[in-house]
Amino acid sequence: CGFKMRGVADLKFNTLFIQGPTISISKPFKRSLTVNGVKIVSSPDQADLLLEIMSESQEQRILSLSGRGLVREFELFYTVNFRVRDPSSETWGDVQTIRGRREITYDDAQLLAKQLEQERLYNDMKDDAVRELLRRLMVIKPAKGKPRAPDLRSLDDTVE
Amino acid sequence: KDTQDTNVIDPSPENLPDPDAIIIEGDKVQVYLDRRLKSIGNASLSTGQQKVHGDTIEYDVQNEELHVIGNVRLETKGGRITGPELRMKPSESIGEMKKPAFELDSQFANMPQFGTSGNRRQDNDNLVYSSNSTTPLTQQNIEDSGYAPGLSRKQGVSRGDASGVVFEGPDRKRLKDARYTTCEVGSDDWYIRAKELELDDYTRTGTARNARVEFQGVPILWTPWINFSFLNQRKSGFLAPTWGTTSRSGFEFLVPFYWNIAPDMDATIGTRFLSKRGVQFQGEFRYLNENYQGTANLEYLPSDSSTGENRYYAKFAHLHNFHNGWTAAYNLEKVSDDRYFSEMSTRIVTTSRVNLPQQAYVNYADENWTFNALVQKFQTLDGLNYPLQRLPQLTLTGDNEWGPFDVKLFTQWANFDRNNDAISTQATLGGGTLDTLVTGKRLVAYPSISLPMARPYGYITPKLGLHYTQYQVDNGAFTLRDSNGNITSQDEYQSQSRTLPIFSIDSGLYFDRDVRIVKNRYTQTLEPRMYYVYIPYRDQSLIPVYDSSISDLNMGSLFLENQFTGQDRINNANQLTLAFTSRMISKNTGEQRLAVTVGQRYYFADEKVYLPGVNPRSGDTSDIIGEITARLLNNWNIDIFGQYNTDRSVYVRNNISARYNPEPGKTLNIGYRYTEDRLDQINLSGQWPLGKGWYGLGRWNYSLRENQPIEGIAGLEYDAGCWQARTVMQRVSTATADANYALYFQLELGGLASIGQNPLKLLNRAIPGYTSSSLIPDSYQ
Repeated sequence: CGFKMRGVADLKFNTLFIQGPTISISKPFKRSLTVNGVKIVSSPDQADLLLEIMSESQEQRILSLSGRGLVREFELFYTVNFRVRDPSSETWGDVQTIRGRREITYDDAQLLAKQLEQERLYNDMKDDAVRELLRRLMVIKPAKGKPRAPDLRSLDDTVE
Repeated sequence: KDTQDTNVIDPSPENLPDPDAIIIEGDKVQVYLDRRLKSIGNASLSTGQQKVHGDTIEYDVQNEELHVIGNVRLETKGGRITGPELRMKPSESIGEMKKPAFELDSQFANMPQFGTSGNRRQDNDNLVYSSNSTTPLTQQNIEDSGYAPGLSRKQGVSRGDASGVVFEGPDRKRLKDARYTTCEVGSDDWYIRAKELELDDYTRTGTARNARVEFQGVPILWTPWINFSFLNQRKSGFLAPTWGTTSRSGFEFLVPFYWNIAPDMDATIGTRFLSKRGVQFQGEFRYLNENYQGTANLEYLPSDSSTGENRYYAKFAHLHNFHNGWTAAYNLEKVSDDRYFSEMSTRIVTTSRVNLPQQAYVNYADENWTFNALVQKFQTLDGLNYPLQRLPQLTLTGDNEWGPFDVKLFTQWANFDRNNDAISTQATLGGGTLDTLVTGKRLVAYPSISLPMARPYGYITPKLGLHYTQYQVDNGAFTLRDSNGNITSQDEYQSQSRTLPIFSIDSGLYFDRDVRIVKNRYTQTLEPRMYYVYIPYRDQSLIPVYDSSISDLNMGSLFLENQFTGQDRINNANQLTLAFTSRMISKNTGEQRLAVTVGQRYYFADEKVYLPGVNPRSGDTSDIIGEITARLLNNWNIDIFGQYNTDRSVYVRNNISARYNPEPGKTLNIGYRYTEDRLDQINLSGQWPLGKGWYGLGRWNYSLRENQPIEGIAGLEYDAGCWQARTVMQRVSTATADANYALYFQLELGGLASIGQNPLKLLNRAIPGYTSSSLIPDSYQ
């Protein structure tokens, strides 16, 4: 039916430079890059692709109420904002957003247990976000091997 | 007398002799003995600072006097001023103009918003405060807690006129009997009329004295002085009063004062008149620093005329970053009485509150270790659901890689206590009751080791752990009753320890194929996942339940070792979970457009561990669950969840929600939510343009189970370009009292301030996808 085992060759770049704050998914994300054969480099000069992690946020919203106005369900959101840049380009791409959503039932009688469950759902969304971030990077084909103009390189440095 | 028909000086920049030079142009320029210059017809004079145009320009070189007559246009840094006649000393920019009209390239920025008690507690959306790794008080909280700059972010010019303007230097202008508006030329729907308006181009601020806001010619607001900014700078001053009416508190009127104490500190002080209750004083103090941030909220209503009691609300929240991984925070909230929120607010995030946290923590985190010390109590408002207090709870976790192995450690010590008012009877999940006042100390240690083996095409992770728990129990007596009130069990919780080995194997594969739908190329994935757990059985019926409950069944919890949250119950397990996920991922962007998942758990052992009052499961499979998440290119977002019990052949939980959001200002939400014995409701909400600047918006949330509305909102918005008006009627069910009805009115003067209750926050929650009409580009046509 056309399905094939996923190969390692899907990523079009070998080295990645990451900048921006360390967020809660930074560690597992780096681990998943290593699995897919990408080397994280410490200088933008050595990188095939630059990634800036901009921010992460968690949000909780009331999803449903009982007839008496008590919260019955919450929806939880986890959001990561990032952008990427090809080293041969001087401008960053548009800010991209990864947004996870989960639903959780709620009852004040189980407040402590629900706190823990909520924590777990956020972690679940973070695992998904790592995979989604990798997928978003997978489609990018940096212009490798294209010689970079010397003046452009100095401009890169000022951008960092 | 000389007459020249050409320019006196070549005006091109490279020929400018020096910045103080004055360049005069015109159809005809006359020079009188080097003392006086006169330019007639399309005349202009430029200095480094500004440029003046007019029919006739006379310039006295010796006395530095400029006199411009007819169609005067003065261009400055921030905009243009036009009028019939100008007298000025160009070098010092001192002068005056009669009957000027001005146009500014920017608008006055919004004044900070100040709402009623309900509006300001936006950050309380975080009803369940997380206690472990994440911080409950974030930057977001402090930003959201009341100061809402930029309701209207439409960029635009503003304009006005005056009986006279005095120029007091290059940056300062003082206008007499001035009018100011953001409406376009030809529309005078609203304006600020000030006896005196001072504009400062250097600090980018404006000060109006003896000012009133007139809307359609009717004065609606007066202030002795008001200070505003062209930039989003905060300025001290009186804010727009707000008004509204609710069935609980009657007509209300709030006069706030905003105090910009320092760049990192501000306060809002308000007096709120409630016709059924009296006068309430409100104060909010906020601070934000590189290393710490916090808020203090106080509300005080002396001798409520309805109840005769003094009523208050207080909240103190602080987050401190000590660096090197250490942070600390506290969050304390208290209200005078259980009905405070229901009676003082109409916001559901506030009125649905049952437990107010009073907690503090210290956190440490580094690459491998995290430590958390938490002290947590609650004020319970319903007299029923008293959570256990943790006085304290200490948690230490470690995560390290040893060669190919991943080694984890979870340790926790907690002292669980009860509120003195706590009642002994709690409802069980099985519909009966549990009577107990058990408290005690609990120690947990859970080391585990796993061997993750990951390849791009799949992974397999075996994991082995040893879960050790020790209980020291006080007041252990308990009585368990079923739903008919018959005693099913009466015993005493025991101090004891429990050790359980936990073994699991998680594995998954990834298959891909290319598909083309219409013109778009996608990667379709097929991801089977298999998860096996083995945990032996230990009798846990005499272990108290402090923080355990059963997790919702979903794609996350199907793959858990333990179906119980918390540490008090560890299920016996010999079970396998199977799930299939298929995704459609755009080839161009990598975004996931569609995901479909189906999963089920198969049991090879009977359930022997369960929560008090809950019947063990029958059958050897879990409910089947299915999930569909679609983010379609045609602006439809669809989420479907289904949970089906194969033994009883019934749906346990069904949720369907769809949103159509083709452009800002056009949103439709349709939802149906069903949970067996708990929830059965319809949700409809939306915002849609009705034409000519009108928008209709509404929400209807109806419980089919209780046959009653839960929340109803109906509103109408009008966007006239430079102002917006909205009126919203609302009915809310509240947690601690009967339903409350409210009527809001808001008038938003473009770029200036909102007057009236701020229903925006309410609408944001009630109508997912709602966009304020002032933020909708070009909605006024």
